Amino acid sequence: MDQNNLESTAEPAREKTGLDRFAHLTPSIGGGFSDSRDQDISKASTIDDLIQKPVEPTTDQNASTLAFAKNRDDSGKDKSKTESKFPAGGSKSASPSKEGGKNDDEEFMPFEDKKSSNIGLAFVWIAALVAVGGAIFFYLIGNSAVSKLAEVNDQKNSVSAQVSSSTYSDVTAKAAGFKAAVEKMSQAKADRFPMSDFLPQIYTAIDKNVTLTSLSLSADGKLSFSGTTNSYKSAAEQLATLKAWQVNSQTAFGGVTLDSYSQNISDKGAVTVPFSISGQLNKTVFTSPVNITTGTTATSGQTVTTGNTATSGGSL
Amino acid sequence: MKKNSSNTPVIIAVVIMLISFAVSYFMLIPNYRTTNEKLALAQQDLSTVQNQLDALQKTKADLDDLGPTVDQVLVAVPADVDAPDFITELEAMTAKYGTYLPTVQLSANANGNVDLAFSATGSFSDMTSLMKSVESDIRVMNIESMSVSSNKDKMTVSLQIEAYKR
Repeated sequence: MDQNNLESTAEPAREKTGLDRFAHLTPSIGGGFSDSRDQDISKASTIDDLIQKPVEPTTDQNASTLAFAKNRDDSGKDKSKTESKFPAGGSKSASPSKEGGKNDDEEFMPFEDKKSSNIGLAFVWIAALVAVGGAIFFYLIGNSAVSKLAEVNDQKNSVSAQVSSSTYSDVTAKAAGFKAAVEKMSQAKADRFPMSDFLPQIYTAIDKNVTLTSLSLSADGKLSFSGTTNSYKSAAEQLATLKAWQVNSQTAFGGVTLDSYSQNISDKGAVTVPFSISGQLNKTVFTSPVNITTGTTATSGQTVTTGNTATSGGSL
Repeated sequence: MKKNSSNTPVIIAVVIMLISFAVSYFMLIPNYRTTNEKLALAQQDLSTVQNQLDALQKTKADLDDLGPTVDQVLVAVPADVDAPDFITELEAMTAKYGTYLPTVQLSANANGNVDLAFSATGSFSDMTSLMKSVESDIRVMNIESMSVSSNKDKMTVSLQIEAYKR
């Protein structure tokens, strides 16, 4: 009879006490007990006598009783006294106890099993706690990231609102206009020919005996000069004067030619010689006195207030 | 029955562990990654917008430092040339030197500026002064070409002017 069977048969007996329990066992044991033992039972006159018999099972567990019976060899020697106290290899053997307590199967062996299973259980719980802690950690850092994202978005919206505000949109438009204006002023400065300076200077190059009739200077520098004088010689001298004319130590005209000339004699004998001269003006020689101002501080100096200082700001 | 009851804590612990892992792996970590990516983009946008704001603030400071020069430059090179105002201004300019404007013609040129042709009659000094006034006007103008015809004390000057606009 194995241990399980012992336990299964012992289960109902646990709730019984005294002789009733013992009497129930007696016929079921059959040959498990010796005849002498049956006789001892039959000889018992009182319940006390029966209980006080040392060989009688006093435990309230039938399993212990049965194990005790099993552990007895035919000679009546109790093997459980040596085997049950020192079980080898975890083999389960039932041993009775006088005190009627639990047997070794339930008290001694399960202690090691419980110890190892408790450690395993602890590890499992620790792992579970670590997993829960990890989840809480990711939840918290996720929440932190979400709140940080909201904060950054708020900052971005705030800064964007400032950028798109009327204050800075005006600044942008003003800066763009200013930059374009400065570029145009630089272009104007480069293109400027000081006509107001040229006109008085060209008059200095006109001989005294020559009367200017017309003078034209085109945008590309082509000069046409028409005048009258009193002789061919004077016309030729005027041509020579214009050829030799220098501005800022540089020859102002190139390709000067006497295009036409004629002689008219009036009824009174006065001689007039109309002539025309053409040439190419070197405009670069007139660049030195250029003034480009914003109008309020126009001077004769070379102050060019093109607002170039405004370009110092890289953001413009 | 005993074994089942003793396994219950283990089962509970394993279930908790699995649920925690699942929640972390399938929900919390992906959410965290997504949020972090959004955060990086938002920070990049914030940096860009902040740089724009810094540039605008610097521009504003530069313009403030320049003071009235900015307005003068903007007037000198206007966004557009308003013809009536421009002609009125020229008329006042010529009248200042005792001359008058027989003809005025405005047209746009290829440089995006405005060409203005007009003629004036007066003395030599008046014409010289007129040209100086044109060149030193608050509006940026260049005299492109000139034609002078002289008749005794009076001279007639025809000027073609380029008025700059931005």
